[in-house]
Amino acid sequence: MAWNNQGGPWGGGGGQGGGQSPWSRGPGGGGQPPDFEEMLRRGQDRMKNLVPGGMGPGKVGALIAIVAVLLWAASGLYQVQPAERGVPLIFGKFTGVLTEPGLHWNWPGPIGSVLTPNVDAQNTVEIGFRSTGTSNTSFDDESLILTGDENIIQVEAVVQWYIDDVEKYLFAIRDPNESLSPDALKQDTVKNAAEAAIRETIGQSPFEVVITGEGREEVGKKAQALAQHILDTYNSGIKIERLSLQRSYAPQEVADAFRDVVRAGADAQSTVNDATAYKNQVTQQALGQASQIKNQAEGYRAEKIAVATGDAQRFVAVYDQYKQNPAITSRRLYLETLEQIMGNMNKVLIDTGQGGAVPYLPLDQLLRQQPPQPAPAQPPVTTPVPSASSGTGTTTSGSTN
Amino acid sequence: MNRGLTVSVVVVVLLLVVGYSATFFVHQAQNAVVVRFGKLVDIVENDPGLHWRVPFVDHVTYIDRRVINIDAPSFELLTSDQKFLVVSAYVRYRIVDTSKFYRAARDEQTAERRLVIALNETLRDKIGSVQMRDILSDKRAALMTEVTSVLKPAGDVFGIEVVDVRFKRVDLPQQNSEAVYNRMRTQRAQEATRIRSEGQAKAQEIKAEADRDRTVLLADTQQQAQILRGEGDAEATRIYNEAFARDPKFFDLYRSLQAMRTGLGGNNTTFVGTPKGDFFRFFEQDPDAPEPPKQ
Repeated sequence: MAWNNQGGPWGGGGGQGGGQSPWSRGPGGGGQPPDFEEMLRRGQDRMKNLVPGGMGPGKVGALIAIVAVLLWAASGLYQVQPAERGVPLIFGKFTGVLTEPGLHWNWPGPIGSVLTPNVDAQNTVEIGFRSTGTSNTSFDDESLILTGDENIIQVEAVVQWYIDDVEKYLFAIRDPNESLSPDALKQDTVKNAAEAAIRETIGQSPFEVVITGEGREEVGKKAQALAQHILDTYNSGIKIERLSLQRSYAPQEVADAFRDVVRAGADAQSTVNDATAYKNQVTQQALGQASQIKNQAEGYRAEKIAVATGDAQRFVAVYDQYKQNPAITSRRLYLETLEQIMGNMNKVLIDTGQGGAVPYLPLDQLLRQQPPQPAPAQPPVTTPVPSASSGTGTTTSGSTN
Repeated sequence: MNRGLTVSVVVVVLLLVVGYSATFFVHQAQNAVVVRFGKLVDIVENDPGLHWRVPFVDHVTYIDRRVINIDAPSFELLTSDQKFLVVSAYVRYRIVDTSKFYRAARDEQTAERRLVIALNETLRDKIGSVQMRDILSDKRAALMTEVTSVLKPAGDVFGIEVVDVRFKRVDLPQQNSEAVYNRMRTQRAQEATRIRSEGQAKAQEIKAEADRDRTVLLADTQQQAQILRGEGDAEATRIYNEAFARDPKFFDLYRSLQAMRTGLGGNNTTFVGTPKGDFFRFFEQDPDAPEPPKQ
């Protein structure tokens, strides 16, 4: 903004005779007019050496002048690098023809000058952060943006742009900081437009959308179109190759709360996992248990059938023999059985007689004594009492009372 | 010879000096006004290149004809729903009427100062009449177009065309930001609680399902088991019936004896009674022995 009332940043006028404005980056000699006197003196000396016989002073002067003009004219040669375009100006006016890479000639300073903007370069503007070597520094002023649902989101974006129309780029738009350095790229123009576009786009999008990857992409696309539109209305000749939101995240102040949501997701998952583990355990246990129950039942069935079959066959076998001689066999079986039973039994044989005194039997004692000394208990008890009459003997009758 | 040379050099230099003083270059991106003793005598508009002037008398002022940028300072503004916003905008303008601009403003700073004041008033006015929601919506573009059109007359005074006004930033003041952060935090907390509760609900459901499945499985298995047992019992009964049906009488004997052996077997049974009955038939008397003498 340091506008110089006396001459403007491109000076040139006002009788300084210098043409030293930043624009007239004169080819060759950086715009400095040749030092005539010095040149003349040098040329004079050279002439003297060349022509020892001497010529007329007028002739020498003319020769010197011609040489000087030729040298000056030669300084109008300039080179355009492969990525650049030459923009020759004569008296500050664009000749209307861009020159391709290579060697070209334009009027040397102070009459002519050449600008050589780089048209192939992809220029990068960073919004919301500055990459400093390996790490990025965040700029809260730029990166904190109000979303459509009145939340605040932090965004980092990168804009890549190039010069699309050299003439417009150079002569139709002025960068905010250009007065400081005329050769600088018009980064701030791009940045202002991109920032306005990003903020406008995010201002119309809800937080939940912008924070997602697809939302970011969408915002980037919309903002790119909008920024391009803005730049086009300025006739800037700037083309935005790509505007992309690198990151969008919750601001520092609420980051913990957002992280907690992520944690909550993990917590929920682990709770569910625990439950699933429980389910697996219970299911496996139940399967095992079920298998056990079923096998037991199958075992029971097999056992029952086997035992029944065995018993039946045994019975049949015995029965086959029994049929040969039923009386003997039944008697024998009866006796064998009672023999076995009576053999193992404790016995108290008494004869109730007919209406005799009821004998006192200390049954409790008998039963109690039994386990420790079953053998000696028998002989004294076994007191056969002869009796002629027949009575009914039962295991319980004839006892006390 | 030297004198001739000196003279010619002096002449050339003089010519150059006068030549420079009598001309001026207007750059491609500029217009210019020529002022003679304070009076505007010539305007160079859209005509870059070499121009003539009266040496040492005419004074040339160059005026940019490109689209120029003003980064306006941030304003704190109140919306119609009583919310404070910090708005920073930038203005893009072009000087379209060179002589008007020169007469009214002389330089860009003057014009820009006035434009910024006008912008401030316009924004205060416009933003004060809309709700915050509108600024954060599609209406934002319309609002800016409106601001641009309102600002145009202010620029006309200086021969300036206002090309565009853009909100670079629309932020909340610090203390309001804090309120927004609080709201965001509580929203997130709710969200986190909801997610955790959902997880627990799901977990409970899974556990309940597992328990139910176990109960159902075990019950089914018990059913099968009982059926199997029943089959076993039935088969056993059939086998027994088949065998025992050959001779129910013998079965009675055989099975009774077996039962007696099992029931009375062991050595903890005590027989108390008279030695009478079938088993004791020969206990008192040998049947083949001679009859004892009767008393």
